[in-house]
Amino acid sequence: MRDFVRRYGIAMTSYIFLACGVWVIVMILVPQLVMFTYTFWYQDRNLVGELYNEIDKSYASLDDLDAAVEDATDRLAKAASGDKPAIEGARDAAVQRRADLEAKIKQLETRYEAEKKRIYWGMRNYKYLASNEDHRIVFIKTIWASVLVTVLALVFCYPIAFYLAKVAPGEKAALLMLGLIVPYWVNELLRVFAWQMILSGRGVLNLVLSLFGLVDINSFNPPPPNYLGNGGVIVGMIYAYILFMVFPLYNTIETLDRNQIDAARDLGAPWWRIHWRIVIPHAKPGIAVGCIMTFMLAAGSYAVPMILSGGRSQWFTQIIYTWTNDTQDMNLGATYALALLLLCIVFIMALMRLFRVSLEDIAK
Amino acid sequence: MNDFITRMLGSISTLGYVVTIIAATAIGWTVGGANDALALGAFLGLVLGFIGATVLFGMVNIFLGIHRNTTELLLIERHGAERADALLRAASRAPGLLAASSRQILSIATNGYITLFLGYMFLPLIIMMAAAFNANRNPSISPWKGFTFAWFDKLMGENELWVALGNSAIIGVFVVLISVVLGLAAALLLTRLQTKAKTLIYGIMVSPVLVPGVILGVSTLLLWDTIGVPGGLFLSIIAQSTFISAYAMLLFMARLQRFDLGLEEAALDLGASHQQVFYKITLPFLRPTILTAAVLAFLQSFENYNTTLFTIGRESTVTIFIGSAVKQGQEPTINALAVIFITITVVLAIVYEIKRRTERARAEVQRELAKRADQEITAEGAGSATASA
Repeated sequence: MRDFVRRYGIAMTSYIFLACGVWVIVMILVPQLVMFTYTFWYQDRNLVGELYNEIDKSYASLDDLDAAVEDATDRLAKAASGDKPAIEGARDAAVQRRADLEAKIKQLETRYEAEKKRIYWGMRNYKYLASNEDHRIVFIKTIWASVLVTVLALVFCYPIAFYLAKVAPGEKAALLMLGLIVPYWVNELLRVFAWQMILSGRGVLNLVLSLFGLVDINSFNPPPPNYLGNGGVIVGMIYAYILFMVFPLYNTIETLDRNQIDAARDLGAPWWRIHWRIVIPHAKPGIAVGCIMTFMLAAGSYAVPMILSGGRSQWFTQIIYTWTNDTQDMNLGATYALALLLLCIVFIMALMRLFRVSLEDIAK
Repeated sequence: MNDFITRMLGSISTLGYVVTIIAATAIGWTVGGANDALALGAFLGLVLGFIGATVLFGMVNIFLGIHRNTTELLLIERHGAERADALLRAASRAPGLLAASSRQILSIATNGYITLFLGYMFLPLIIMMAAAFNANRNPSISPWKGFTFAWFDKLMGENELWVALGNSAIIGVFVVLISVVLGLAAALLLTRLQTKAKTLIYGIMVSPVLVPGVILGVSTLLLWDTIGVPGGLFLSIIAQSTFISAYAMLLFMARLQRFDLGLEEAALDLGASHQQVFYKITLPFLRPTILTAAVLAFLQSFENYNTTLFTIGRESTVTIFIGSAVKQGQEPTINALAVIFITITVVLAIVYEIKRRTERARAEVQRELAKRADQEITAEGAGSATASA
């Protein structure tokens, strides 16, 4: 601290510490902490719903009683004098019932307001997550699909990255780089939408297949098959996130000294051993970053399932969105988000252990 | 051993091409046969086989590039391109080099793999752009109902888009301001901090980049919801800045690693005030990075969907607009928007490339001039030396 003041002066030092404090505490830590506490309480939504319905019903019968009172008043005006006491009695009874009902509604409403704010502490959210089999299956699907996307991206990108960094002649590498940067900067949603145009029933894939007579693209009954769903989502994820693998790989392979490769070759190492013993160990941080980014983007992707699931398959992020937006059960939303967060943390830790890299290596 | 494998791979890939294509043709034949379209099925198999073989051998060859390229480059460097080529031809049966025919096939495979990868990246985008000009009411390239600009007109008439664009711009500007300010502070802190806590603080600061945007959105929403702030532009700015600041920080840290701390110390020793040091030394050094960080932050903010989706409330941004339009599956107005976005990206990329090339050419000319001047001076020096002698 004193060192900072000596170097930067009071004004700069306070700017640095204030800005970092706000960022770390208010923007990063506290939101996560709040999310964490949200997972430990819940509201009795059934009770609140029941109360709401009861209030609704009571208001309806209040209207009925109003109508009855009005009706009685009308009849009273028209009725002969002999009938009047009976009608008056009925009217007074209705008025009395109305007053009772009003008191009950008031009671119900205060109770409703209280219940709406009432918090129950407990593990309901976790129990719900653990006991809901559909959601558990979706969670496991999210894991293996993301791992699959990551592995495939790595397999297809490593040659490209290596070619770009070490094999391609300068001009060609620059052009190729440009060719990769352009799709990288095109909006994720648009890139996924392009695949919807390919995979949907009257899409490009069926158009090509119909040229070979394999699919009748113009039939209405049955309509041509589409390729949306789990498979479509995975294909879309690979397309959308593959470039997040290329650039980290390229950046690390690029820094590898060519002489190391030449030396290994001159000493008689075969090409696969050069990759296994020299290029890949050097590229470890890049591989780790690429894998982490691709996995994280795939596991946390909302756009790809939204566009390419065709309403046929459900993904974990969609469930989170439903909890936080549509049904407004923020507590379940927080719990599901926490599960996703833990999954990512476990994956990052596992990769760092596997590749023996530290966080500092990662962010180069 | 090495030569053996290299040679083997050369022959295997040649052989493999033939075998894969024949196998795929056979499969295509059977598939096609079931549909009474033998020839077409076979053709399909041929195409698939070619693609498969190219992917496989292209990948292998890129790895082999280690051998080929270094040898070739060495020869070219020593003997010039023509002679190197002749030497390579002559030596094609020498150990360590592939036969000329295998080399050619492998080189086709490499180029094929790269071409396929680029095709894979661009073809969907091209299809999407083509559909923007189709008079068909559904976003599709078939059936082609004639060329039209109608979807662009329709897009321009969408009021929601203009509102969304305005919102995206507002969010983007604030995110740039916040993330540059926060990112710079964090980078200054981390590069100068010498305690054990550094790793921990660093870990916390990069964590927003490594965590799905969905989670940042949800947690920010929950925090501000408890205080009573609903979703909207403000919340989106906060949530986006949380992780975009980390990108800015990484950029600044990379730049600061090349910064000579001695400069600041020297200035302080010579009596400069802290303000002077910052404005005259640190800031000018960081200026290019500030620009890069700002541009990157704006683009990140503009492109963001996941985090924004959870925090935007009832408002809209460009990505939210695209998202809901795609979900509803409307007319090809989104395709028209894609054409505009992709065109802008391509133009910017080309401008960037041209700028890079001219800069490099200029640097080369300067280097050449310096070399010549150096030679002249040396020659002069030598001349005067002999004259005086």
